[in-house]
Amino acid sequence: MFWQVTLSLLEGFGTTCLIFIVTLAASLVLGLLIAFGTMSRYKWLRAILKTLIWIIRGTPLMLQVMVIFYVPGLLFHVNLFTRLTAVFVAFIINYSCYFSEIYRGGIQSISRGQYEAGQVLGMTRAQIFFRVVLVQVIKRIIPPMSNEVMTLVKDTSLARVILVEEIIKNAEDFVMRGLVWPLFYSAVFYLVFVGILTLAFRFVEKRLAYFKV
Amino acid sequence: MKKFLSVALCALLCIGAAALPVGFSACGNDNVLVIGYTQYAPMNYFENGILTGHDTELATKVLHDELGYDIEFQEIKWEAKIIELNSGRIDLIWNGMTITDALKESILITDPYMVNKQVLVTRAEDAGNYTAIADLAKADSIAYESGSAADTLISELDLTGVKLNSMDAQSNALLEVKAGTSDVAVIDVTMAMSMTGEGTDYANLAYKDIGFAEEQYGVGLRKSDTELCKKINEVFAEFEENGTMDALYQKYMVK
Repeated sequence: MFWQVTLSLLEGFGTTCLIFIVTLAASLVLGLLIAFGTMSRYKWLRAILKTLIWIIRGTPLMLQVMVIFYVPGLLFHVNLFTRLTAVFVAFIINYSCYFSEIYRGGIQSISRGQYEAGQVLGMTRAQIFFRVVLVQVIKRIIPPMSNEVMTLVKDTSLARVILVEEIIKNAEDFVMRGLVWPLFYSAVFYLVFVGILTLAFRFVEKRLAYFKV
Repeated sequence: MKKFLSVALCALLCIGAAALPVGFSACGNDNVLVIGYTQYAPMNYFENGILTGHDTELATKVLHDELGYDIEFQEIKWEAKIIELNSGRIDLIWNGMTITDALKESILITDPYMVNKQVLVTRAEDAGNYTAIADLAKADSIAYESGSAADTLISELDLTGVKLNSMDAQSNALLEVKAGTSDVAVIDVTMAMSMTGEGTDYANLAYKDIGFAEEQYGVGLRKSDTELCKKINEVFAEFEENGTMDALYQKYMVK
């Protein structure tokens, strides 16, 4: 019985990890793009993105998943996404918005002098950004990012509102059949995953300590 | 650099917005009827990894064997059943659904195919305290599934001072009673029969008929699917006549 439960939970945990990896990879990139957009010199672009961020940060992720999955069918009678794709889309949009604000905070915390120093050395704007600014930004945003990343691990459990079979869903299936402990046992999987992430972030922070004066 | 990025960002958003409907409209096959269910013994449940149960078998017999449709079972959240149906994610709700007037307003429902009743579940030693519907007021807390038939019945009672725990599944209502976080649960007799008592994980719970009225199970469809509803009703009538319905009842309900 214990093995059977573990296998079933592991299967669900596979989906959990998939949601985690896809969301993290896509939102790290999209978040940076949105961050540039919110600092753009075009007022209309800033306005659009600020509104988007307000909506996404102002509504529950669970609701966003349901909106993306059901609303196209309800309004236009077309079903855009499969269940898992809808989860990806909702999670990527949501996390990109949170990440973009972290990026923006990091980028704007870099002092004017760094840009000026770059210009004096004759670097192009791209060179200044990637070789001077971004490396410092990454270092500064690691602690807030690690917070969000760990929240993401646990937010994946929201995917079950549209019946994506992640670990909590599989655990609840056992409860439904009358077996209660698998629900609490599932916590172990999250704990181990977050534990590994914690160690990884600690390692990265240490490696990035090279700017310390 | 920034100008380039903002242009690139706009382009990306536009392409994304334009490409998504194209990319995903290919999904979903219109020739297949998708049946929405929740895991709920003895109607739809897994045994050795295979979906079985009274409603699973009845739906397969009616839609596939008799009417010749390709069918697919999709698990849903019970409280989202109307949204799932009306957004076209599923085509039928076939999961021991009690026919109510409120449901009839938003969806089409077939003729009834089974009779059900709500019963009270409590710890075996407390069972003596509850004999009539009015005794529910004696409980400190009652658990039931949100949006279920029990929900409707309980909301009609005067239960001031009793804590009402509206759960997201009948099984969670049972869990509440087992854990002692609710005194009693009100659930379907069909489920109470198969989930409580000796040999189950809820062995210390007992169920009791406290006089709730009988109710009927029906299959839910979109209001526009009158044609399919008619066909299902015809097969139901046939199954009542030739004993198929009774054989299924004996197979899954009677222990």
